Amino acid sequence: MARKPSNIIYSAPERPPLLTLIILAFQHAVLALLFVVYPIVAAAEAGLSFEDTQVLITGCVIFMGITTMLVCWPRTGSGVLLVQLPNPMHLPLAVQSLGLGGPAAYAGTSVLTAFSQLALTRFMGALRSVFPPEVCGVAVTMMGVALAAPAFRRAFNLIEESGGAIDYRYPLVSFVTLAVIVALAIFSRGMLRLFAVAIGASLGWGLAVYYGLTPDHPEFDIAALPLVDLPNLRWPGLTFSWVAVPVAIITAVVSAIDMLGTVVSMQRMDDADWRRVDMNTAGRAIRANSIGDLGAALVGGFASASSSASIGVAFATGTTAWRVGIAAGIMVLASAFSPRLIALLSVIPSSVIGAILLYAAAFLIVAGMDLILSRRMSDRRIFTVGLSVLAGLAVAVLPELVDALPDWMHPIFESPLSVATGFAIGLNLLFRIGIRQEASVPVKRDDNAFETATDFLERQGDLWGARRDVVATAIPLAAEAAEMLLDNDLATGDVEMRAHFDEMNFDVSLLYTGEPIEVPSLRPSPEALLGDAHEVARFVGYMLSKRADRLVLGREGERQVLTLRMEH
Amino acid sequence: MQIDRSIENAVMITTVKGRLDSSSAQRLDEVLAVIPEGSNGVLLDFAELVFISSAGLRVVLKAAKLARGASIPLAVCSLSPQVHEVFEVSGFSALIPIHQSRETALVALT
Repeated sequence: MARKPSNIIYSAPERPPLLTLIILAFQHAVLALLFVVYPIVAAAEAGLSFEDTQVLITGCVIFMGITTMLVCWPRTGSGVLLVQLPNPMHLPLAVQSLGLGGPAAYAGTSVLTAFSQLALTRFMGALRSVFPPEVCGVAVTMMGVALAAPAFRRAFNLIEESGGAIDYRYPLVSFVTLAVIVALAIFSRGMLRLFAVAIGASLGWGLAVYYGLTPDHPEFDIAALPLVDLPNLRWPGLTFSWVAVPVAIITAVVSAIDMLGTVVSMQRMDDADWRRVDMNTAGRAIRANSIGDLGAALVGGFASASSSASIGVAFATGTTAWRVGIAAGIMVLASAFSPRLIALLSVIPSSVIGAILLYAAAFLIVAGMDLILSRRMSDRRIFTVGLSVLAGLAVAVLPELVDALPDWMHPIFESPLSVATGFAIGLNLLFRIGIRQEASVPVKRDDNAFETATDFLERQGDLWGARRDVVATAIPLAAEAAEMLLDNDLATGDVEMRAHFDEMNFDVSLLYTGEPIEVPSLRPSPEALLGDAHEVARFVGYMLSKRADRLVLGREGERQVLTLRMEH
Repeated sequence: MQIDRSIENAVMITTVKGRLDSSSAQRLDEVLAVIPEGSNGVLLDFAELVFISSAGLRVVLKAAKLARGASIPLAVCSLSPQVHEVFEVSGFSALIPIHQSRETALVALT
């Protein structure tokens, strides 16, 4: 079982008290519903009718709830709190296909996207080397960076109608909201901290109402909508447009990477000793999301995905418990039975959403950096990370670069997240060329074993990107083993120190000609250190067997092999 | 490795900095072979010891036996987590008192 970090109040498997669970779930459900703004934007861009817009939103909300339950439930999904929000990656796809062929075309391309995403999950286990922590770290950092533009746009109300002028009431609302959330997250304890986002958002909403900043949506006649009613769903039909196929597949890849990033964030948040991505869990989460998206597509709904915003809420509330996700899913699902509620949600002030996005962005940027620096940085890793982040920033700050590309490439290159992550994956694979997974160095009788082990293992650790703590553990053990073999004349000549690395293990082997050592299962008396060479070797053998994750004795040709295994 | 000696409250304090391995153990062995007259205790301050091998442990064991023979208590203090692990796994923590700081060790030894 994962060790709970000190800032987490309810970890993944924990069961919060019922009232707390309801309030926590309510925050997530409200946040998820706030993001219905994405399908509203897509519908407005494509010029959908009021009726079609309602179907798009209702289908989205229903399957957002169902998918949240599938993704959070340990048997079908990740077993952590991953509330699904409308997937912004689907915006380009929705705008393009809705514009081309209406709801039927969007349903067709959404089905294709869901199947493509489902197919990707079959390779998750083999993809561990493609997604080492620095690549995941770049993705997580860029998720935060990618949120910056929509967050600031909302915070400063930078819309076309404003004509570039800033109405300072909007940033005031936004920064008061942000200040309250951050202050509660940092300085408060217990319940106040749990509901930091909800309290901040409520105060911000109140301030926005005071300043008359609630948005006006003339396209919706809210008062005419029933308070409770059966959801308005209908079969949209299915048509495929070849023009949309590349975008559909790219959307699947980017969404899968996005999902992976969110799973990594949650796993890391939930486990104080986090070491690597649990690809099985990530695969299950992406599979559950794909199945949910398939359902949404078939009822004409907008797709959903895990989002950095809900991770920000999880962080702010110190809760990663999957049961909160189930409850949030039920609440979201229930809200689909109130058309008026859904319409009302669209009047939540965008400056409040901007503040929440800013909060989530700040958290993700630092979480990504933390991930990147969890491994030893070699020149290869420095450039993998640095160039990838620069590539992502390039498309963020120089949109004209993207405009110069063919239209079909825009969905890929418009997103700093997908550009940076794609670069990180590519550079990681490219820079691996020429790296041998095994290396060795001789340890001579006159050498200082500790210095030799330090120079050799730190160099190899840098090259392979091994974890700092694992290399630091290996050095004294390798030095102790080499010193024991040489000083007690168990090795008749030099000792070869050989290191081998894969993502799972960091092995250091000592190869020598001479007698094998014995490893007792019971600790010898410390007096053994004053005995002969064999007694000392037995004592050291016992020590090594307890301090390494595994000690293996064997032979390679005429030489004895003593292998110290450190799990990575 | 750097070795410093001082006497405080009639306790002989030996501070070891750096690595205590086969290349440096002999020097510490020579230092610890003599317990000044009038000493009420021997304290090994390992606050800045970064590595101890079995050769280093052997020297500590010999010093503990020498002190016991002279009916003088010997203790170690301020171990780093890595060195503390070595003392735990090797069973030395059951033989030799370990103190968190020099101050608490001096209180115990005087």
